Amino acid sequence: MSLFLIVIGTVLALAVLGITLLQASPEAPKEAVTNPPGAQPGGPTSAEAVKGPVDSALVIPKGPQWMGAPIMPGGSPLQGEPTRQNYELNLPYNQVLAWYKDALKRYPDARYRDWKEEMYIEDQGGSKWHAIIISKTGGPKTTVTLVKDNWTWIWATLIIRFIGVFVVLLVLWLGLNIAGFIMQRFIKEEKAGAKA
Amino acid sequence: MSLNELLDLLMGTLQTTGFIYVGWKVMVMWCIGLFFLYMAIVKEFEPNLLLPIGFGIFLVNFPNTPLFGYTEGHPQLLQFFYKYGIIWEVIPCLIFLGLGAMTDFGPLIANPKMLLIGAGAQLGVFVTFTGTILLGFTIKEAASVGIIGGADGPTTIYLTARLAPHLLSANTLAAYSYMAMVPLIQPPIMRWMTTDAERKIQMKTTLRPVSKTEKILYPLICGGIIALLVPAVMPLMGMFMFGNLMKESGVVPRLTATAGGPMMDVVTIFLGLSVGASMVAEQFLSFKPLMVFGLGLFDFAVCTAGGILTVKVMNLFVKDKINPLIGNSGVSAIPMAPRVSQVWGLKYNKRNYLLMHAMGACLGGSIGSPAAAGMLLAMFD
Repeated sequence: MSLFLIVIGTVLALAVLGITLLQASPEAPKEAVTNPPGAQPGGPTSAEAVKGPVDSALVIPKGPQWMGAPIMPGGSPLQGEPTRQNYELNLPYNQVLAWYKDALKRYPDARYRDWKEEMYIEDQGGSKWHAIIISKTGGPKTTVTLVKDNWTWIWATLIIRFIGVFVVLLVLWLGLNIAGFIMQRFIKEEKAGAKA
Repeated sequence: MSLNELLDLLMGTLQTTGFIYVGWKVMVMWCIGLFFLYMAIVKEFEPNLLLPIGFGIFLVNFPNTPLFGYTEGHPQLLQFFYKYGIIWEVIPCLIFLGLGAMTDFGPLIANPKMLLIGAGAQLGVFVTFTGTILLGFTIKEAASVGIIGGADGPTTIYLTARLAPHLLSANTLAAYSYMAMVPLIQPPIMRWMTTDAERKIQMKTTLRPVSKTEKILYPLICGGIIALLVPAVMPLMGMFMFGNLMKESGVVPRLTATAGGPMMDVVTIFLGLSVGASMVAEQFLSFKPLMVFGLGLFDFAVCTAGGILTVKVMNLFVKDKINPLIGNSGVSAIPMAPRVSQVWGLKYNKRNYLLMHAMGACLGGSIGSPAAAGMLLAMFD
């Protein structure tokens, strides 16, 4: 019991230390670049920096942005919501896509999903936007939708994936049951054959 | 030689030592390293891992040591192990190869419904994911922290190296530390979540016999299903199943003995040293790595609860009731979790031998945890 209390106490102490460090550090930069002790100034070695997540607002070109997502100039805002912003641009899809790729080239956590009707650029990092959706209208105009991070997407994907774990193991259970049933039939037949 | 030149020479010599770079952060890391050495040597908590990890932490946090950096573009010793073993994800896969060569899946094959307990015990992974995001972690970081609750060290390392390598040391240390503390963390939860009547549910003392052919078919069936449904995690599961096939075939005893013995030992040394060496003061002593320890404990607790809840739900549908005390074994902390089930089962019913049933659940968890990792990896593919 005393060891249990020591462990819990240590965990709480570490958590308090972490919170204290968070409050003590000034406006912590989103990009954390650290070097091992051997690479301190005057040290004999150089070291590869280990980078943490980056906020896109720090690496996209200067200009209009929404939640850290770049907004292509020249667009007409359409009716939006607090969690979504829509813009219409008088440019074909390829040009809009090229602009966004260039704007996000220094952001490593943008994941491009090329779907049939749109290009879905998903943020997998620490930014406040969730996705930039560029529609493939095939015409001279393109609609760009910027989506904010939202709990609906997080909850939905987590529930689906948790159910997915059950599905995988259920399929495995089925496979093992079928294999077990077949094997037991063979063993019974062999025993019956041996007796005969 | 003038006095100034002599002083310059002395100052230059002094600057090659580590003394002038010692600060409070490295001293804290020394204490942390020594703490883990104490846990390993004196308390014998997971000594195979905590000893090399603790020593790695202690060693790498001495300033000016050419251990975890680069010299003229070439990785130094521990950086070499870390980069090519951990970041390239070789070591976790080799550990799974060795584990497969040491694992007997008989209890799971005899009673495959235990797989569901392994699935239910992954609840904590997804709940902790949510809590981690609330604390300001990114989605990738949340996924890597969530998998800690699966109590599967190689899977934790594999997922974290892919998604959030800057949290690798914290996640790995949390995973292995809490695995060693399973006998402390789980019993209170098992007591709170079960009634007296449930704890006394008696299960069959023996499982059905499993033929050698079934044991040989199992890695092929399991590997095939996982490859089709969750291909992202096949480097781990493929090695796991290969190791198991070697063992169950019985035709390559030397390979099996090597995989489960000397190879595992060598890989474990490199793993422990690499993980410990990655815990440099500047990176570890910050908000996120330290919060990982608190989140990891929460994760373990919820995973334990998830396994027990799954048993209770299963009991609504099965004729032969399952003792919920084996629900904790859905967390794949082999062999401690099944031992806890066995000890606590006997406490409430002296004729209740739950070990083999709990092993089945634990083996289910050893499949469930990589499956959960595969689901999380698929989010980012």
